Amino acid sequence: MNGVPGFLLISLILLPLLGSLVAWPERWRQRLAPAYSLVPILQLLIVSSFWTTVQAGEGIQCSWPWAPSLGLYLSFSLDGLSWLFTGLISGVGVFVFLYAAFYMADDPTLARLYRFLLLFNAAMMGVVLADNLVLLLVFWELTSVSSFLLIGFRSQRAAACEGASKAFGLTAIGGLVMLFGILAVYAEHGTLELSVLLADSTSISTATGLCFLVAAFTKSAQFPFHIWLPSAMEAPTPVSAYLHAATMVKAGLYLIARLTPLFADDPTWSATVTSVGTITLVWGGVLACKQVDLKALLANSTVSQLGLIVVLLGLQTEIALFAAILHILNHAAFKGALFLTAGTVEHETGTRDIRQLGGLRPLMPVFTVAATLASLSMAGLPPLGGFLSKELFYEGVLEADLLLTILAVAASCLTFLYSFIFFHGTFFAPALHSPQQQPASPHAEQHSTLGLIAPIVVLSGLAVLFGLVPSLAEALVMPAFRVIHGAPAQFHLALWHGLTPALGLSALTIILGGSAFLLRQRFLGAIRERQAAYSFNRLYADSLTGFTRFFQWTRALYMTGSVTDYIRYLLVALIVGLSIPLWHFFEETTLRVDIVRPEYYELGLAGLMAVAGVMCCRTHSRVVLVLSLGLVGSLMSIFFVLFSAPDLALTQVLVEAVSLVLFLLVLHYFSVIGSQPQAPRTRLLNIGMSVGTGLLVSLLLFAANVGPSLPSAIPPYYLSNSYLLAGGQNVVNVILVDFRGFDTMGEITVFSVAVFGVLALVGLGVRGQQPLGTLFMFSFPSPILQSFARLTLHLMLVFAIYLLLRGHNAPGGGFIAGVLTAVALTFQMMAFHTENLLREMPWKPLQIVVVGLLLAAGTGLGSVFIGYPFLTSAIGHYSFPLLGEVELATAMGFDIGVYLVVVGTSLGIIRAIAED
Amino acid sequence: MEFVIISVIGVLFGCGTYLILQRHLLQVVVGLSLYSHAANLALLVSGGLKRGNPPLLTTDAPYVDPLPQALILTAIVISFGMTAFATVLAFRVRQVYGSDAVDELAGGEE
Amino acid sequence: MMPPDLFVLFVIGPVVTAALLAAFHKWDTFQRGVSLAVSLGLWGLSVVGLLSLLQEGQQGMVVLRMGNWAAPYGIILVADVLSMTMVVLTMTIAVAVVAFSLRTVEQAHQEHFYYPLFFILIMGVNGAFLTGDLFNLFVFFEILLIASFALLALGSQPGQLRETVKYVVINLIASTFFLISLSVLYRTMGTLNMADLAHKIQTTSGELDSTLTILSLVFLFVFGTKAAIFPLYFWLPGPYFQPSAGLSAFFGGILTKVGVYAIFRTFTLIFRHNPALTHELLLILAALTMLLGVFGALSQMDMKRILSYHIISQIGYLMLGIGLLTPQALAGTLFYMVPYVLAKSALFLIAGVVQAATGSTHLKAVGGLQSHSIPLSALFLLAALSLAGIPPLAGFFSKFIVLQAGMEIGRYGYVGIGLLGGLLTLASMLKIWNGVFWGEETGDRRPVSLWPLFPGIILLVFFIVGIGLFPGILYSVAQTAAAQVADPRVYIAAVLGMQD
Repeated sequence: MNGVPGFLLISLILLPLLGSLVAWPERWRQRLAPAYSLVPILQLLIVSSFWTTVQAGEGIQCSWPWAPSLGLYLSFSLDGLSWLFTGLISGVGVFVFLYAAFYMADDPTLARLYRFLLLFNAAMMGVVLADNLVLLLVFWELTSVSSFLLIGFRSQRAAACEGASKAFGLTAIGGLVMLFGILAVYAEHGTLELSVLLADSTSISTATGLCFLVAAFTKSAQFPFHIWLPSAMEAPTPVSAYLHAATMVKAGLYLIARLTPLFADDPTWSATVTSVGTITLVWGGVLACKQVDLKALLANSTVSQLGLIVVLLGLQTEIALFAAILHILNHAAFKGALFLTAGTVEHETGTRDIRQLGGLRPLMPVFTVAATLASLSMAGLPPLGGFLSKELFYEGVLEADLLLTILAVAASCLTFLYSFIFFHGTFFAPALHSPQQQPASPHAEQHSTLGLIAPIVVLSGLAVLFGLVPSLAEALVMPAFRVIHGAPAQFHLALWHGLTPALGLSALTIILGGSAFLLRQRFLGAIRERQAAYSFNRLYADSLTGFTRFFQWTRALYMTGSVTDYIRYLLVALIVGLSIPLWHFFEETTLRVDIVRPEYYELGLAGLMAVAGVMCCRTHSRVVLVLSLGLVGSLMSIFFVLFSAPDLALTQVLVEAVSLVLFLLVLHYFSVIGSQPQAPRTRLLNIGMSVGTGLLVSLLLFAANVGPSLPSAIPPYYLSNSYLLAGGQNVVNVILVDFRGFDTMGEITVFSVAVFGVLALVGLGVRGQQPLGTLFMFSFPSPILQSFARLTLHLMLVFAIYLLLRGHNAPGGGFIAGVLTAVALTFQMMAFHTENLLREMPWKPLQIVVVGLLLAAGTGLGSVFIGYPFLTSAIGHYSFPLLGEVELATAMGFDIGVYLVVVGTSLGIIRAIAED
Repeated sequence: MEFVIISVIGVLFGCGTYLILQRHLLQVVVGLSLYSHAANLALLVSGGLKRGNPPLLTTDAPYVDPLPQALILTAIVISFGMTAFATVLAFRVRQVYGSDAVDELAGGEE
Repeated sequence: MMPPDLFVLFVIGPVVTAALLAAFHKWDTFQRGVSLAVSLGLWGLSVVGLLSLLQEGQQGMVVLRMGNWAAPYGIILVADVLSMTMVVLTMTIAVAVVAFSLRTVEQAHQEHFYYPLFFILIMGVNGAFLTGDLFNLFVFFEILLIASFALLALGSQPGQLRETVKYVVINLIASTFFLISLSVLYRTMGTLNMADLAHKIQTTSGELDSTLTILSLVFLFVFGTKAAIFPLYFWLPGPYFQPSAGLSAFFGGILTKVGVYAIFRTFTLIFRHNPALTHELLLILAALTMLLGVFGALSQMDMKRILSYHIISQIGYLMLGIGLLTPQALAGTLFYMVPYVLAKSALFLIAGVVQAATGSTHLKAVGGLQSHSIPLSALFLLAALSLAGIPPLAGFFSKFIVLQAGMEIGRYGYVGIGLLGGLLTLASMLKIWNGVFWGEETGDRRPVSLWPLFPGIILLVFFIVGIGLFPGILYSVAQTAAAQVADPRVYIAAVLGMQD
């Protein structure tokens, strides 16, 4: 199934994709760029090789698994419908690519244009060949992306960027809605394969169908999404001809046509498609007549013509469907030719303003004929291709209802009018040489412009041919029609159908349109002058700025940049979020109270702590603030003693000492507190939040203590195994260095990073204006004190070592010993000067930290090397003089690492500040 | 006993919050320190209070739950490191930014 | 199969490296060479680790007992597919960031511990992903926090210090509440080990539910603050704007994801007692996060600020997947995470290149860069479109899978909001594109060669494109991870050593 035809099929996509990756070397880039045109030529050959297959009503499928668990397959299929589109893409592609080589002959960006065009070509081929819905969406969005890049090709121009974004944004809406639809289909039917869905005539809900319709409408510029198409005219003209007339805007039509069999009996689908198409048809026609810019006129005419096809697809009758397909073909031919015409005109004259153009006929006769024929085909005049589809269009609407018929005639008159305006204004009207205009060079047609005219001649030749040889058009259209309708058509195309109502309407159109053209001077100027009070473009722009303003306004409302505000938000969220479940908790739970009665002095200490806390809040003195904090800390250590936590008590005392030194070092640097009091309202708010937070935390802990709880197996395990398995009698220390040694590894990391951070903080950036008081304000340069300090240093150091070594069995351990050492050394720094001490110290603090970290990590990794998990401890018993018997666990090495980190960090931080 | 300490924790949290919401960076740092003291007390409460001897196996059973103590020790060290960093940061802000008023540190959202 | 004990290297390797780098912080070549070598080495190792887990399918889980103590007594590292994917992702970003930093970090910053701090950050992140113990998670949070504090402030410029203060204060508050929640947890559940906790909850019959709800909300507050979900994200945009681009890339890509991961883990493993309440809440918060984040992005005029707000918005998508709680949604969350982190980091690095090339990232001050560097524009476009979910880039499939999961269980409203968020994301990406790469050429053009800055970005974009072209590979990883996560019994049995 994936044989030769399959590879040919995907080569339709791969060829341009690979082509777009080819980058010519800088030197030859300009000259070799047109070689990119080989790609659509090859594609056209491949497409024509499928002729017999599709004429026989057969198709080609190929499929490779992509991500089957997500329903994704790289599945492609070619049937009559996609064949027609591949033909359009490659066929129009050939002309556009060749045209571009001449149109941008001296433009250094030509190669890039080709590469983007090839990317688009690949994407568009993918859209019409993909059988998997997600794959289809992939290519669908890829067309949007490449269209974005092409519209914004002249990226220096603001209008180009805006147009590109508008097109991308609006079509992206469609893409996302389609994604919604695809997800719905997948959730409902478990497959993403179009062929499966179509084969089973799966019933897909109307809502899902509407999702696909929105996508189609955005892509095919249907009302009210049509506004992107005129803005897209900022693209270089070959791009407009290719993407925004012949192919990409037809992707939406393709999608509607493709899904039509699934929604054949769905009145909502049909009504939606028809009415949206009708509005677009008429509205686009009106807008087209107003335009004075050739490309703008063509863009709005494209909108209108796309609307026409959509109407036909919505009617879903045999004739209407046939007409729709036929018009896709016709429109590609004549609109492609007309866009290229606009490009050539601009290239030769330097303007696209229809009011300044004119009189090109004598200068460029061949060009004139070709462009005029294409215009007449658009106007629907016999015997051109456009006439055929217009006739069928009338037959289709006549079958439907009267209102639609009237609107159809009106729209056709408009089409007639702007078609005539287009070619008459450009070629036949008297030339109006305003100063800005650069007149066409008289010998224009002779030399350089052959390449700029030949593609137009061929395309409009096709438009003529489809009319003169209806059987050719029929042969091209019939396979596609068969796919949508399910059976071959029962009639044949012909120029002459006899005297039918449709012919009458055609005649009426010509009469009405012709008279409007003749009388155009009466109203056209007025219409052109008239500025609409409000337009969809304005709506789009206004809503963009409106939303941005709104977003800015809301953001400014809450993103104040003040951390105090952010904290308030957090706390409000916390209080609101937790009070509700807490309320429920206290309502539901039977409280279980198990009280240990406090002693009076304990109550006193608790009261004192609360007072110290409040003092922190009340005081305006920096010293009192810090001392009150110190008081809280000291009370903490008393509580730790009371509650049987000697290690904690020791740690807390020492930490308080070091923190106090730290605070005092920097204290006088801060400004005086309370110099600018807060507003009473803020104060009240703060007090409220403080009370709220305090209450909340209390209630939370209260709930934890009175609510249900599960027994823990952990403390008994620690208590019974601490000595047996880990060789230590101080269970807390054993937990720290062994059971949960990994925590401690992390903890010393945090601690050592503090010193890196502090060194970086003070080492970089500007220094303070005045030097810090260093330690002088605390230094006592008296010899007695110094000798005292020297004495205590050694005592304290010995004691620290003792604490370190006995830590496994009694209060102590690496951290406590480390802080003690740091305190001793800090005392030295105060007694002497920092520099003296530094000279005496063999290592710098940073090095101590590093050694400590490496020792701790290394001890842990040691066990990995001998095949045990990280930090596994080994125990041995040794006896030492003075210390008695000591269990030396490898955990001790770890603890020494901790010790070193703590010493190094404490000293490092204090020194860093003191020296700054 | 737990409820007394829980009340103290509440007070400390209240005071901490009040200080954090003040204008002066030093107050904010002190507020954060109060927070961490309170959190440590909360951990202590989670193991139960006054329900046994220190978890040194040389003394007699019953022992208190040793795990919260170990956790608190870790928490103390970490918050010591954090406080040290925060203090130096505050002091550098004062030096470099020229102000230690929190509301003068607003901005930076545009 | 990789020896299980080696998994500890993702945590210990960085800290040893950091120590060595700190010791020789003045040796320029040493700093850069070792950083690059170690990050590449750990990256390779993490990939091998993940592959070895995947070989065993749903049973692929490595449980490491630190100090050889069994759960719940000792600390357990658990490398399942989810956490290892996160580690691989982290190391990928780390490699890109180090590669970028080699050329962008000032000498003075390098001498003041840029690389050591960065590796400590990696240690914290990896540890947070791998640990199976909630208190240990707290410790790793603190590690990555203090490293990020120091890195944010690195340089001591006024703006940096100002934003660092905000970041420090908010995070320390969150950390305090983390401790409070741990104390409540230990008081009521008697354990800190996640698997043990989950096991205990499974074996009780509902009498602890209201306690659990309270606990889940406190944890949500703590993790949500780190993850920057609504209404806790306000702190994020300011600080993330300040540091050098390399750091912004790592912060923006990885740091908030640690919080998301913690929510992911706890709300799939532990807090499943009442999804009708907790996960419904997650969904609502997810929707608000998604929308408000992208609203904020659209209101900005600076590339880096737009990107910062997008972090928030994308977090919403991740929360959406967690809130939906079906295996498909959980797989979607992980699938969302990877491309989005890659794209986000790549975009921040690109902002760094823009800064290097023009001296600014403000949309008004820069313009027309496309003509200056087409490769840069292409890289931006690929990353930005992936972030906006345009196929066939990786970001599209992320959205596809998450939203598909929403569709399957009929949560159409959330699917719609997700799509709307995608559209607005696209709008803001186009805004950057129009402002920076298109338009008139404005701003300086500094005479610097941009190519040396590209390798890291190219690496990330390579994966974005690769995942887009072969979504099946990552999806099967995500499915395995989701299968493990969706059924907590696998995790519990593996950690507690129970046989089924």
